[in-house]
Amino acid sequence: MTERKPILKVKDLKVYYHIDRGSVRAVDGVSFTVHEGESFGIVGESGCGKSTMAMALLGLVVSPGTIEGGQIFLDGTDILSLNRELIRKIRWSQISFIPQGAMNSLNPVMRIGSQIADVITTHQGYQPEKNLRKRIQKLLSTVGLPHRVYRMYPHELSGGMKQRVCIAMAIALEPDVIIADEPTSALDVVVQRVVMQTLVDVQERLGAALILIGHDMGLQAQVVNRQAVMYAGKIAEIGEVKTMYKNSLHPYTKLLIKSLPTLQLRHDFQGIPGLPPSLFNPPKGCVFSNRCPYVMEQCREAIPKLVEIQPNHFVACHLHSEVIR
Amino acid sequence: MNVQKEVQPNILSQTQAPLLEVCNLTKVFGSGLLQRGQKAALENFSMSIQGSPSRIISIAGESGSGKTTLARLILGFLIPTQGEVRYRGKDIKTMDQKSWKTFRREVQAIFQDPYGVYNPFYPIDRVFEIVIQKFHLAKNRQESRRITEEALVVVGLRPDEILGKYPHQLSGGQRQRIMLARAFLLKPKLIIADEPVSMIDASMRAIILKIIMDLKDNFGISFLYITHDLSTAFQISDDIIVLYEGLVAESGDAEIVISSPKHPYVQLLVESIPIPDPDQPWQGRVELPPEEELEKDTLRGCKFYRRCPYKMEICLKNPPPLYNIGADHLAACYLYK
Repeated sequence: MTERKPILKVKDLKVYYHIDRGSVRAVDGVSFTVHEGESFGIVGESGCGKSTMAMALLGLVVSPGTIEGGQIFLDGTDILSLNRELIRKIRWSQISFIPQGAMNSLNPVMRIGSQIADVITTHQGYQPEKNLRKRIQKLLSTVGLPHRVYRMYPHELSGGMKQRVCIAMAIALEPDVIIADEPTSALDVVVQRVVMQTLVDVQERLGAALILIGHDMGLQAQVVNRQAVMYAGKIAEIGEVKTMYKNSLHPYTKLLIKSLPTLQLRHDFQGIPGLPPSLFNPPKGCVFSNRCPYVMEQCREAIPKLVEIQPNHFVACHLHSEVIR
Repeated sequence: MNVQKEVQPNILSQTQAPLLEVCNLTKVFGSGLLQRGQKAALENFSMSIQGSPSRIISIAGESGSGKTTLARLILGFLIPTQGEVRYRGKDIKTMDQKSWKTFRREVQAIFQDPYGVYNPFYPIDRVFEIVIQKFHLAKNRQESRRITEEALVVVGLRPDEILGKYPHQLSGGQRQRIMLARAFLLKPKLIIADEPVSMIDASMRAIILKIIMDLKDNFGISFLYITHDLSTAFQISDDIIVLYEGLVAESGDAEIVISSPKHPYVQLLVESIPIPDPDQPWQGRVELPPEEELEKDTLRGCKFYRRCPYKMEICLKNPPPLYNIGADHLAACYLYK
């Protein structure tokens, strides 16, 4: 795992939304690295900034959002320093995206085949129809769809099939990084499992890195190797999934795992009382301090830094920075 | 658990009929001018809820399995094609006005979307004021305020943080709890909760489920908990009914059904739940046959035939009836003939 080359490096990324009343710090100083071919999860609850981050990685932050600082290195180049035209070229050919609601992201009046063809011709120029069709049909079978889907319209497909069309589109240009933002949140469990199976298969075949964004810790545990837990615009903890679920260090991660209903023991779950802080004026210290059961004096004063406590296990919590010092 | 609450003298309760009885309920949705392309959303569904002691009954299934149709039929939002819904022994379709009003008061609903149920132009208080007025729950303003605050406290909210606010100022979890408080205000006997936590974050979901269990245990309110999520159903419900394409696949004690499912569909469902533990990965692979093939074969026989790993010849002939496979444990599968 450690020998792998980093493909995506995010350094101190800040994305704020500026509105009349002030600015919302949706992503506030986030850093992480994703290696070639690994699957990396970003979990968090609604409003923690995970989708904004996906948009930033794709160079798609639009007004009122602005990138306030930081760098995003994709295969060595800082994409934030590129102009729009260059980002357009990179997007999809090097970093592609699978949106949350496949239902709403396909064009209802275009056949599936031509929508995928669009992606290819935009980036690679004109290609003879015959080759193009062959290539697209091959893509469709890669994601487990029959060839006739090529000539179908989105409304003729079920939710799971549409989501697979989106996967086919995302891998059409064989990117290095695939970002999937809650790709299965609107699907039934069985279909979800089939779609995730497909996604992991194609990712492994391509050797691409997968960034899976979501709120479902169960799904993350099944799919990803490493995981970042986000809370209120910041990263609370990053680590290998295997260690994180057994031995999480950040109180938020611990509580989040405890809040999940299991299938072993009944009545065995508890929530996290309180609400996430407003991102308008985040608290002076740790963003989790108002809900944390282990809150200390310094938590309300100083923002904890993300520190590597154990190899490959980073935590932003004063409880643990104590130990290090 | 002590469920002895004030027993209201009620003429209706003299009959020993169950609180809610659903008999052979069928709902067919037609489409097109000549009602071609008819689809039975729910077929021949029966169940009953005794009401005391209070229980949580889960109706689980995928999208399109008919679970929301069932909720809407029970609430009287839809008129059944066949069969009837009886509340305290009376058919809700033909009951007199007085019983209807009792029904409307004692059976409450919580819906999936905590954003869509509020009118954004009014402060939260109005949600409570309307029900208090409609059902004459308070004599004056002070009393009205007092019972509203009480209801909010029951669901773990602080009245001073909620009252006077507008819906957009509150989180999804808070809004859903306000809906529970509103229902609680009416001292219902039954709450139909249609996917109440599916749009709520995990940390808040657990809190809402705890409130549901608390309302059941301490206030004698039964719940019909409609969900696609078997893990929450397992956690809170006493009984479970799993629907597939409008038919009951399996029903019984929630703990037994989910920890050792008998129907192949329920087995598949339980296996597909992503367990939040990397050491318990999904086993094997699942393949789904193309949609249109599903419809062709299963016009007459078992609707799960195409996806079933145990296909038998008999499955194509007639839909399987519910077989008794244990104490109150039923499964609609020829494997248990």
